[in-house]
Amino acid sequence: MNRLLNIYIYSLIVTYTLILYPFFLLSFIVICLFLPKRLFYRFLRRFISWYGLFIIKVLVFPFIKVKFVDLAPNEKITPCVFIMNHKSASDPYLLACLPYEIVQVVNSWPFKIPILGFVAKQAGYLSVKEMSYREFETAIVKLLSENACIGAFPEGTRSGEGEMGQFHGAVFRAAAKAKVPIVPLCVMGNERIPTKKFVLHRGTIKIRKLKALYPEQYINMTSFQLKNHIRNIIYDELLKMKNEVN
Amino acid sequence: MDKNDVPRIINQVFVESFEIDLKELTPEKKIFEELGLDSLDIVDLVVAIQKKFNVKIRDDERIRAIRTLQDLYDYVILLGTEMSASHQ
Repeated sequence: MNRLLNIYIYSLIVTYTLILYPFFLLSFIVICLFLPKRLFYRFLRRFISWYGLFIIKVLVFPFIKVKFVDLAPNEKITPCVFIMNHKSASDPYLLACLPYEIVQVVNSWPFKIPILGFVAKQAGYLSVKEMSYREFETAIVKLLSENACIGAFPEGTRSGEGEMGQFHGAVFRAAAKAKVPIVPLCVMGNERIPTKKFVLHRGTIKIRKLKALYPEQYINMTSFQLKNHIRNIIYDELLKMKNEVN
Repeated sequence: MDKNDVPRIINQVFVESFEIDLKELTPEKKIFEELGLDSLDIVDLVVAIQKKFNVKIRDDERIRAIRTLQDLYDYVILLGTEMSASHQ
């Protein structure tokens, strides 16, 4: 039964991507050739979000449900850095729940995915392993100054059903340099959506957007303290979410 | 440098620079996986150790092999031995 589910969902996603995505993308590019560069990038990044949103809300429904809760809906946070724990390969798609222009920080392998990797690169997604820290920081600060938001998974690797890993600090240092809010996001329920071997299972994915940490709140923290502070916030919220389920 | 002082002084660096609890600093602890220091934190750690021990280690390739606190203690002790030997 699960095998049929995987064939069904992956076929839908591949069909959607191969047939519809280039069609819409070409239309966008034609339109955006007439727009200023900054607007072009904004549309391209929002387009990636809409692409992801359609997958997580429509294509995989009702087998996989995504429930997003914003615990601080009235906060004015942009531009900011979103920090999310990293459970599975679906995490980058889940950022589509956020209604902002987001540039994701990724490892190098997503850039190798056909079509998606190419578009992500054009949209200015940052491959943290292919840049020096100085280049990374400069890119982040520039993007934030243009009012784009950053989405990052500082564990750097999927934790799956295991414990949340330690956080790499580069994006926190860059956020502190840019003096922007840092917004923690918690995701659970997608440990096996998909597994590390990309096998999908039915389930409900829960995402919570927490209160932002503003520069005046973290100004006296070292970057090491800052990353661990955010990590602890996410860890505590995940425990709460787990207890709510139980 | 008295090699018996090295673990104590290094632990002091961790407490002062990273506010890690002293009881967390056992020799077998892995510096990234368990203490949470990443490559950028290691740069800060190296600067702090250089100051404490008055040594130069920034461009030393052997740092890459350090995984645990014990590895770090052994490395600094080895540096001390090398420095003493070069002064003789």
